[in-house]
Amino acid sequence: MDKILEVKDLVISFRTYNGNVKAVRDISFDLEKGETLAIVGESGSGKSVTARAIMGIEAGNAINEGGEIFYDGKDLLKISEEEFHQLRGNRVAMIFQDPLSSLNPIMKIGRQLTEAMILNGKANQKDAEKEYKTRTALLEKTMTEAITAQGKPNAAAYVKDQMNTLRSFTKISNSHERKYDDALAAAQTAADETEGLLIAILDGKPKVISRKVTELADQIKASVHDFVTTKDSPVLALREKLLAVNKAYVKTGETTELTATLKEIKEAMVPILEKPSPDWFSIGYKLYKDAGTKLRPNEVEPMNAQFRQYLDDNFLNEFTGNVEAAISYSHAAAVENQKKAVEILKESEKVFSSQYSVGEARKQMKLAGDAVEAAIDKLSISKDSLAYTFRNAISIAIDRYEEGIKLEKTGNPISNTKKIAKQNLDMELLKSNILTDCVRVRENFENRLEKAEDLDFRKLAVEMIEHLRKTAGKMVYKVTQGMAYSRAISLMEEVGIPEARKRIKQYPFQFSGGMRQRIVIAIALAANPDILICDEPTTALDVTIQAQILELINKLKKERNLSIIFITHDLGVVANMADKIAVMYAGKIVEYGTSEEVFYDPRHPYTWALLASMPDLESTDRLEAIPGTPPNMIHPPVGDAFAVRNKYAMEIDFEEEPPKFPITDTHWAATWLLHPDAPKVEPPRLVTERIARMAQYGKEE
Amino acid sequence: MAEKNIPSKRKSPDEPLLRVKDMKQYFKLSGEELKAVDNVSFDVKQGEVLGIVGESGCGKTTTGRTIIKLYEPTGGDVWFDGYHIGTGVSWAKKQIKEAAAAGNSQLASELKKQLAADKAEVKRDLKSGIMDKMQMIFQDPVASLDPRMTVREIIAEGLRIRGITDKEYIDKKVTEMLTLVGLVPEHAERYPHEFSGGQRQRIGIARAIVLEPSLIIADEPVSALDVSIQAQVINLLNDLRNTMGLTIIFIAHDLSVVKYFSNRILVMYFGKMVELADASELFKHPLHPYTKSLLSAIPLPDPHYEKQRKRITYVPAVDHDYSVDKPSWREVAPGHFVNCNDAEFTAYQEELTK
Repeated sequence: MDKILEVKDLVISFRTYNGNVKAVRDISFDLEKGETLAIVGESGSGKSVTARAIMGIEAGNAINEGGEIFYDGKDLLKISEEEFHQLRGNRVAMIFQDPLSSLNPIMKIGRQLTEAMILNGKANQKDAEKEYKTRTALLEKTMTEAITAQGKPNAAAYVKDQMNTLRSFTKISNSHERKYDDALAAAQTAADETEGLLIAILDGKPKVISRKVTELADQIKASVHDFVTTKDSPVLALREKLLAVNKAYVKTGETTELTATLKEIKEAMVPILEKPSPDWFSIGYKLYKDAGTKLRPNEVEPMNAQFRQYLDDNFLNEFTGNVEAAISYSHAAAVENQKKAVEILKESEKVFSSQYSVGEARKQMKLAGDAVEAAIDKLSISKDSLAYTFRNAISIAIDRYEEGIKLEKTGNPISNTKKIAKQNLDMELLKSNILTDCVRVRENFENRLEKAEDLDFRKLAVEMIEHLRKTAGKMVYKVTQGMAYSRAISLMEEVGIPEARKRIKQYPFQFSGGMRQRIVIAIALAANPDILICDEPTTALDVTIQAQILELINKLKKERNLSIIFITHDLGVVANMADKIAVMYAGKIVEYGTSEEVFYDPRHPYTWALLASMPDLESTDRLEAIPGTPPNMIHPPVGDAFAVRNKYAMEIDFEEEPPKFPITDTHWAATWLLHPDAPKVEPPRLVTERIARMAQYGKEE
Repeated sequence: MAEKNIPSKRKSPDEPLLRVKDMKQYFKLSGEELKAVDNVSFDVKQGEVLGIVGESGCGKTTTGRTIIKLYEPTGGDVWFDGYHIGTGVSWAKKQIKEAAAAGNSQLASELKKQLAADKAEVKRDLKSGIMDKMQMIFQDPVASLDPRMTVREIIAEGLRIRGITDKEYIDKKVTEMLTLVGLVPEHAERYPHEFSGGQRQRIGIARAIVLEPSLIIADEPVSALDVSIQAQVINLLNDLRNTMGLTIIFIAHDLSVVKYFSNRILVMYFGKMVELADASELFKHPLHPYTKSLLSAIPLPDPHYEKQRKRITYVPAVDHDYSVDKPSWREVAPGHFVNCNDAEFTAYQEELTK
């Protein structure tokens, strides 16, 4: 399985008046694709903080003291807010506990669902434009260098000509595609409106309906295009008829004819929307080369094939070869620079692991930063974000180190920002943060160097052209209100909201708790995320609704191959959902294993206590409540944090923190009870009995 | 000065402590009538715990609030410890109107007389101060404690309203209650925000028991709490029930907790009673399809069981055919009541004998 998210040695604390609250203390876990990880623990154990750190939405007084959260090759703790905008909601989405407070009460559901889609659509357009411009410029530069190196005369002029061809014909493609897209979107909206009207007629509000009919007529008119609603399409005749019928309807209020016409339009729209779309990229080239070309709207597919062939023969094959040359040229340079960077990084590591002053550190940082930046293969599509963020990351680490020194000496922080509080000044941690930054980038480069031999540049070149083509397409692709609404409706249907078309116009208060939570899920899914973080999604709901929501989440997980982080304090809920379980206490994971292992063979006293404190249908004995409350995390207890509330605690629990004792490959627990010298203890009777009963039940099945 | 001693009006201790008969609670919602509680009747015996379960919006909280007279009942009667504490005036008036409209003046005048008698009786009985003996614990410990009152003031408020001014007596009582619910007397001077969720719920409980009630209506007392804190509160309620001989109406949607805590369980669905039986009997032999669907939704901490659990959905239109034969409240087995019609009644009986 693929690891999609890796959390390593994460340390987070919060600045408060009384000192720093250490909310998360050195936790690590992996999330695999299509897997659910449940994080279980009492309130205040740091489970939500972990989730929020992954989303980058921690409270303002949070300090990320150390560790990494890797997603898609990026360390989420080091990337900028700008970069986080790309991830948050789009790739990593979150569902909150209280569906009422996470929806805007004065916005209709439809607006809330489509808002992000439309905003993202606009942002994507801008980004694509920028990306296209910089990338073509970069490509031109590298290609000129590469071809000059091959010894071709007049390389610069030749490359310029090639790139200009590309730019010009994509411009033509884009202008055509934009018109086509607009018409298609209008057709889509018209089809949707027809359906909406058929429902609206049942409500019978003549003014609204006649207004909507004119809107529909406008949309149909807007959809006229050679490749969408052709001029001889029956829809246009129906449109005339609709307008006539509408006039009659306003006078008489008779709906039968209106309904019949609408149904005809609905049917006539179907073939229009099913038409294959033209390959505007190739068409653009053909039109560029041969201005008088006639397009053939009736035979889209053969036309696409023919024009594509023309493009390949006359331009693309040669161009691909050049791109390949450019890529391999740029890569070769990068490899050289990476080798150099590795050496410099090794030196830096030596420096950073001995004694050094801040000035020395900054000097070394500049050296290493320059080397790393030079080693980036800028032409590569998949960005080596570790290297990109290196300079920033290490400079932050050094700033913190400097502040630490100042604080240690004078007791006063360097600036008003006060990143560290005096009480928990940990110079070792601050120093090691600098070192790990270097080590990580070096290892990354070494990995890349190992793989450098087996790169297929031809494949990369094809990918690059495809990428250019896609960004060119994105530049013109507009998400219209109508498209967003039709997508919102299909999402609402996917999460099981009946009569989506009608309910999309309602306000949150008109929905029941379960339905509201479904809407929150729909909003989270709108951008098609890879990771869904559910922060106690069912705690505010009752049993039947809870069951429905859990089933829904499980269904969506299967259908969309989502990876889920599921946070809850209710172990009962987890049994159905989780593949892996992490039990958290006082900011640490105390037990980690697959769901079977944790439920059938729990090892940590805290897990026992959690299991024993919840009644099941058979229990009649007194429940074993966990005495006391979680510890004050401003001064985390020495040793095992759970020791004070633990009746199995031994002396060592108060003195030394237990390491992770592995039980199986996938299961470990941090408790001294697993040490070979520890006395044998039995879990509470409630737990042993339940496990025995479950085993019995398992046999019966 | 100690509290008034209110003599029981019940003829024998075996008589139910609380009797609810045909209780109705309708709310007016933009012209429409919402039947939040419709014809609910049940008894609660001294010392027992009656659990009321159902999904949100089924009227279980409204039932509790109407019994303790946070709402006046629309219709029906409530007797507590033999005292007639509530009668539905608007329903009776509506019936009088209907009888008069139908031309049955004799019935109308009889009903009128009955209503006047009931109203007078309730007025007289309420004067005895019997409502002190019924207290409520609320769901949300944050919202139900006044943030500007110290714990002492919160707990003593009931005593003060009772007209007790003896400071020493109040102090003694507050200390006693705090120790009883597992807090320390020093906590009395603190404010609610200084406590954790579980401790706050303990304060809520202390406030409820300070007047030494005989009946406590616990409205989802643990739903807003963490699992481990839930156990503390449930254990506390259990202890109090044993030491003080409390009778409890326990309203919750978490069925495992209700099962663990209650002697009998009443299942409600859309304002109507659906099934009432002993806790173990209800879980062993659920009869009504709604109860079955409710039980099938309980998640358990057992992955193997969970992977096989099939949730049953309840669709009234599919599960019942009440077009001809209307359902009524019937005793299928001793102590096991179900809302059903004739055909279902025989089917349920067969199901039980299997």
